[in-house]
Amino acid sequence: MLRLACKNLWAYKKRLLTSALSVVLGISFLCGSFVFTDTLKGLFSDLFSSAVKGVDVQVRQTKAFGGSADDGPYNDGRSPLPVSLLGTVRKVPGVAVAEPRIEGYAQALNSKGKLIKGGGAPNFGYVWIDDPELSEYRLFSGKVPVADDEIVIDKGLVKTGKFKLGDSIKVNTVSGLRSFRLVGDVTFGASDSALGASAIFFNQRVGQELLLKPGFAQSFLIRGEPGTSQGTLAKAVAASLKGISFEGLTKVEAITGKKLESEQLSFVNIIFGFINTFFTAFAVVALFVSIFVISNSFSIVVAQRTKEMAMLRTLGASRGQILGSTFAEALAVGVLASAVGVGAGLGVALIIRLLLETFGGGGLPSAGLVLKPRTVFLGLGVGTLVTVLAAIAPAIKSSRVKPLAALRETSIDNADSSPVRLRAGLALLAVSLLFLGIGLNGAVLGKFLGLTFDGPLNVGVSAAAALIAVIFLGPILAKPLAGALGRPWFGWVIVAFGAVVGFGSVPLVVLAVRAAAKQSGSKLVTGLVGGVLGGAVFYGVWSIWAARRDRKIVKVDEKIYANQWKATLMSAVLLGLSQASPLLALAGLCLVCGRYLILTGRSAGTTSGRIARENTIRNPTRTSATALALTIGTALVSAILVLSQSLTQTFRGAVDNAVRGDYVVASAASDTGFPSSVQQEIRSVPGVKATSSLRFERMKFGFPARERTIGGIDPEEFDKLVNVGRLQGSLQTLAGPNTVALAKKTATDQGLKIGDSIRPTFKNGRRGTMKIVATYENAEGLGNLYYLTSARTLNSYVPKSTIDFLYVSTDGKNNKVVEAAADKALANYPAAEFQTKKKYADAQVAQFQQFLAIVNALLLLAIIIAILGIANTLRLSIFERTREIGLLRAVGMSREQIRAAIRWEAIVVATFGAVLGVILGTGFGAALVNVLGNSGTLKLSVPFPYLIPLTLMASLVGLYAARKPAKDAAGLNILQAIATE
Amino acid sequence: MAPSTPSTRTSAASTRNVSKIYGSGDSEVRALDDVTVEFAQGAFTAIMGPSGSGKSTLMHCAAGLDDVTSGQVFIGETEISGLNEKALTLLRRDRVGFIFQSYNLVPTLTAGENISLPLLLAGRKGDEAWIKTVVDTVGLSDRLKHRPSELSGGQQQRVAVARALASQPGIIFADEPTGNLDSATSAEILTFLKRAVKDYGQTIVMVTHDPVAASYADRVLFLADGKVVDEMFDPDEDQVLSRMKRFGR
Repeated sequence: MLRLACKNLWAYKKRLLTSALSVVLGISFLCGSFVFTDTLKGLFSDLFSSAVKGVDVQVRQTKAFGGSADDGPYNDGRSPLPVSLLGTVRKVPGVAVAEPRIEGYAQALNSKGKLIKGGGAPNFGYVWIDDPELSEYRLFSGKVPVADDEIVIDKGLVKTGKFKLGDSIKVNTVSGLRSFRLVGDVTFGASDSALGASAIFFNQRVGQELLLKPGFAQSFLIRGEPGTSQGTLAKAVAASLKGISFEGLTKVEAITGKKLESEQLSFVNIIFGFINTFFTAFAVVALFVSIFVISNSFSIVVAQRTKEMAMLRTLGASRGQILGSTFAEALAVGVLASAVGVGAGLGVALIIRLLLETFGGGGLPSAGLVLKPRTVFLGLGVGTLVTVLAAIAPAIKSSRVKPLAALRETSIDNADSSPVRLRAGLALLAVSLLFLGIGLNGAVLGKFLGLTFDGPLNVGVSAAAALIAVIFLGPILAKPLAGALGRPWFGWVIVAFGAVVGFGSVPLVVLAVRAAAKQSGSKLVTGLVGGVLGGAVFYGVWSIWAARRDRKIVKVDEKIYANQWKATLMSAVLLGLSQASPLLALAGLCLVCGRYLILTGRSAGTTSGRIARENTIRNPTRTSATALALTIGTALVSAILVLSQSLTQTFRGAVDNAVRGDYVVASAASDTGFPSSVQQEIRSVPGVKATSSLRFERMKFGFPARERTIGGIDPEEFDKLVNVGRLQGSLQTLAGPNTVALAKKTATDQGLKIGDSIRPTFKNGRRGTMKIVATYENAEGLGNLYYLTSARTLNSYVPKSTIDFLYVSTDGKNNKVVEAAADKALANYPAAEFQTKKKYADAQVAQFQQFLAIVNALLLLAIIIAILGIANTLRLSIFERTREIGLLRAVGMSREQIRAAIRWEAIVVATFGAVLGVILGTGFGAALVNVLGNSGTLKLSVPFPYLIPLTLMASLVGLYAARKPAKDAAGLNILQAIATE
Repeated sequence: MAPSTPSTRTSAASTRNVSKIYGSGDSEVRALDDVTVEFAQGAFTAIMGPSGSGKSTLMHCAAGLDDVTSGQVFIGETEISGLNEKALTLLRRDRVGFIFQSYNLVPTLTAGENISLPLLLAGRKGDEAWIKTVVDTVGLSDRLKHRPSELSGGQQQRVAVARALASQPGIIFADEPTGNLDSATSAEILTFLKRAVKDYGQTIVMVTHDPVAASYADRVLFLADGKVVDEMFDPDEDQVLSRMKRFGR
């Protein structure tokens, strides 16, 4: 029986290959994400631990609350230490060296006066530490910064800024802009920069002033005398500082280098835990889709072998033996595919890295990929398990077949609408609706039952149940739905879509010609020639091989491959074009797709369309299993589209509603804000009527004590510039010391009213008592800001010289002049961006739209696997229908009619899947928006302009999936096909 | 020996010095060896011969389903040996009908749709009165809405016969049309074929190894080793049987 399994594997290798490919894809993505995060994590861990490697003891202030991951890169919220304490520390026996560590935000400007952005990586400023044990950087060339106007930067920044020693460089810090002279550069270990972050080193005095405040340091780094243990030294240092505290706030602590290192590493772990989860989620989706593809392939292969198995049964093979043989096959395919997937995962890791480097990040050092045994075992295990699980159901089904029943002809599978299936599907649908109801009405129900319901969780469970319900109901839905889509009306829809796609090439050609006009001619020619030659060689070799292979396996007419050179030439030209002008190649692709869509759509009304339609519903189980692979991908994409559209519209609406002024000044640098002196500069611009600043701070208070954000404002004019909604009391009263305004809802929830006091704790340990003087309603408009106080009060607790936003209103007479003047006034503040209200909203929205675009790009994987699935099912179905196709050809069906029929079948199946997906996804996206926006913070907005093309896009998926099967079917040798059993 | 075919009528199909060779060198197989035959219009011709005699190959080549190594093939006045794939498809659709041994109906289409399939593929309505006549003749009027899986073997083959007749092709090629049927059903099908020739002037060429089936034909061609070795006009069963016995398999 084992030999039979092996022989079967060999005989059916091509069919299994395609289905195995989906496992390979899923597993390679899973392993790739692990390899990528492991590699990156290794790099960061190395960097973080090398930064503190030589430190025996660190002295710092304790922190009132909060982990280290949520405070931004520049400031962990601790109060600084006075450098004067160093004297005490240095006197402690056993201390060899003690240096102040000072770091903060510092960003260089390029020669054009623009901030150099490292693609999202932070921009650090440091005070130079000479001791090589206490610093992770080494001088590469030049000298260390000694004079006030001298700086040293990392070699990476030297390259990106195209600087050289002796250059004058402008540096932006929270204190504003200042010019320095470049006197040296440094390296971090073997790399030019610290994982893409930029570093600028100042001397002690300037560093303190620009990065922190004069006379202070974040911490002291201590190296002990040789032979001193970290623990004893830490105790000794702590003892020397005992009793010292500042203004009765947080205490000074001395921790060992070991503890510091483990703190740093746990920080790295938290970050990468998140990144890993993110990628793994996509891998899981991909694997889930793979299950469909694999199980469908197996069930078809098994169905095709029913006769053979029956024959074996009549010869005396037991059910167990038959089952075992299929099982062994699945096991072999699973192990092989997973092994290949693990290998391919290394490639995927490189691709992810490349993507991140292209779209941000940047400057990741080249390091060996980290392939942990865990990754290998996980990949092999999951891949094999998925394959075996997917194969087991058809295997059991196949072994149940009664030998003699199977020997009779059974060409049409009618296992579509069993009552069990219907009942199970409906039951699951009911479960889904139940959870949906709980999710949507969680607040009401919770109050009634005295429980708390996690809305998004319930909606998630509901979505999962609905998906499984659709799996059960799919075959029942397939007949009416695919049947309806197979009709001529949908053909005309596809014709129209094809026309749009085809004519879409016109603007692309215009764009391409414009772009080409700018390019040098030689580049165009070399690209074209190189591409054509390379493409011709590659495609030629490939097609000869493919033709040989196909002739052997499928009974393909030899003549059809006589025209192979035409296809080779066309592909080569397209490849060359894509090198020389991607836009033109895209235009060509549009033209081809449009043409095929129109051709296929038009055939929907003819007999070949009718035959295709009948084929989609002849085996509803197969059709729905094929389509569902696509359903999952489209459901997720459309849910995300709904979510992102709602977020975008809500945010735009909120900005529109909340910002009464005409302009907003926001920070161009990450998380740092901009100097508060910007406000004076803007005020002095002629035409500016009023300004009001806003800065944020974290505080902890309430029951239960939680971290919350409080805003510091200019009370006088804030509500003229920002719509805070209906007020009780007035914001102007915030001018009084230690006063606070609460969002109405927050006040109600906390049981607070005007006249009460709150007692928050700030990050630096300061405790405040603030009297509530007003409540306001539009907290959402302020970006969910539930507490407001005056900038002065906030500064009295947490002093800061920066603000996060500045709202500006003008007299509205000549805004062009105001803009020009404001830009001029802010010339020395590169971090402050003077924007119109609309531009500000755009910039904010762009960030999460970019993120969601990445998410959708990753979901493409699920769709690629679905394409594989559709192509595989088509191939297998066509194999089954070989004789039928031969007959159709014999009675006068042309090759083009055969191809059109198969393309139409694929388009109908793909669209069926996409329609289900878009309905599910939109529904649950809307439910999620509803739940997340329970308090009215999120308004539902359904992006039909995206969802409809998304549905139609499925026809392209079908077109692509049908490409090869259609060619094979059209190429069948009529006589041999008819002779097929 | 290549028998002369002294027919005054125009031929529905003919081959001239047709050879078909598979393989080359030592493994060369000469399936057809310089065969020249004519199939007269309005005649029912049977092709007989032992296995491997080339009878099926001859039919496939004459019908344009297979290409010849040398020689010419005509359907009516058209030489098809040089036609490209597209023209051959159109020819099959419009001027040739086929009946296969294993019915070969499209399982997803109803009996009625199967019958009009060649017409539908051409995007034509066809002669409705004629189709009705054909359907009535084969006795399928009440089965038109049924799928092939709901029909018996004999009924399925009757659908296949009706399909071949529906487009009124110049010639119908039947490849062992009764090979899968019991003798009673066979007789029924063969009677239909004979009636099509007698009553409607249809031309039919049938490959068979069954002397009973051959006895329905107007003329029997005997093939052996890729050559036409004999022919017989208005044969009866015994004549054919004794001729076949002489091949001494």
